[in-house]
Amino acid sequence: MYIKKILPLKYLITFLILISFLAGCTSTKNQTEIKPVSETAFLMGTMAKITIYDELEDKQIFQKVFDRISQIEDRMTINDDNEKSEIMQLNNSGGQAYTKLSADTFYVLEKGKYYSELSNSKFDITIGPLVKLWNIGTESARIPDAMEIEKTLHLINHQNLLLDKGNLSAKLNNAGMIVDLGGIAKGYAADEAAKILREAGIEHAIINLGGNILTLNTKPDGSYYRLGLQDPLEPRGDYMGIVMLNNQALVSSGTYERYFELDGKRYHHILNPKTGYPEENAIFSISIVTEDSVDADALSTVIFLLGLEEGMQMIETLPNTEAIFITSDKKVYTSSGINDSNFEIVKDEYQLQK
Amino acid sequence: MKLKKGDAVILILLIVAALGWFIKDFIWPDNIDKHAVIKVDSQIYDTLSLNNSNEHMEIPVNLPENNYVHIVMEKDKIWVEDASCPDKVCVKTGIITKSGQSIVCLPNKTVVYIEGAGKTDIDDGAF
Repeated sequence: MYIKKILPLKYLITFLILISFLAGCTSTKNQTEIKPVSETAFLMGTMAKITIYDELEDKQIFQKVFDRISQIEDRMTINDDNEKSEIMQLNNSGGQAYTKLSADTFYVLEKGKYYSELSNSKFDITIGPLVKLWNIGTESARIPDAMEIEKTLHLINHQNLLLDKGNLSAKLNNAGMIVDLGGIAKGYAADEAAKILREAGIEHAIINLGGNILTLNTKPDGSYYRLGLQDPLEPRGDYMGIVMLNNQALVSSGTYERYFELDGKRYHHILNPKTGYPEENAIFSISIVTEDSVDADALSTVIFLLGLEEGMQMIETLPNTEAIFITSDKKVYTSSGINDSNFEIVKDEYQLQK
Repeated sequence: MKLKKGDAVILILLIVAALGWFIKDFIWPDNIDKHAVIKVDSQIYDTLSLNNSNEHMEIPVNLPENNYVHIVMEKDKIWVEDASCPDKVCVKTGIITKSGQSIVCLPNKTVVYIEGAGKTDIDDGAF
């Protein structure tokens, strides 16, 4: 009799203990999950977003990073009348004298020249006059006439950019030449932002400079960062795949980024320095994964201009460098280091090619 | 088989627990705070709940020098109807509906993004 009475009570106690285990689990999980903190600023003609996963004692670090990016922008911009811009000084002294540069600017120019040579001049760091002529992405975008293009093409030649490493200075051989670091400077700025975060003891963060991604290590729990890969046919933020990163940079370039349309034809911003027109090939977008963001940024343009076949060949010769190509028929081509563990397609209409 | 008293107690407790789980979601839904945030020059300009608004709502963001970003919100969606910028990238972006999506108007330093509401699959996006 006594036992019969006590039995339900036993069940009840067991049940409550089990429930408390469940509750215990969820509450500890919430405690260890630190919510990442992010801040944004408008820099380098785009939106810069820093997301920090470490516990933050003081939010000053964001401002420190933004100040550094802003300093790099000042030194390298060609967009406004910025007296601090070393690149504008360099461009304005074409055919005259050497311009003294900061270590920042010199390094980025060296990278630009390196990739111009590597691509056999299919990419050219002195493409500035052509960029100014088309003005794609601004309100004065237009189709230049053939004569104008012809005149401009003569000015483009990276071999006429002379670098003097001993004196940290550079010179353009001809007046009218314009160096455009638009395809590299953001990548460099992200690397420098990462340096500042690391010096401040931050181990887990995402730096997003207008869609150029650089990650610090993994997330605090050891899992890789998951980055959406832009669907080139949909509005920004709509992704067709996910790339997993650990201490790596991811930069995409594509026809969808900046363009203008006239008579039903789309003119995008990736200009071919040989023809003077937007590069016409089957690539919709190209995404590069590297260790340093400056390389991913430069290569995203270089490889786009090389095209699928030649571009893929080059990627395979470069160490720790991977690429994902999306072509106009919605096929996805990947380099040898991209596999199930670091890339997944989330939209069925995109077909992975083996 | 006869249902013993103890079995019945467990059964009832399980049912109550299961029901409680669902009721909890009704009383404190996880996604009550699916909202759109409007930021101008990195400062929050307005935060709007996306779930609760059943009507058409217009948010004119007026900026210095006669610049403007005209934002429109309906249930579960928000978009930029018109803006003073030359490129109209923000207008062309179209309607956003999902957490993590954003509309950026660079010339006007204005951002609209959706936050909260369930898990997102990604930590950030490359474009």
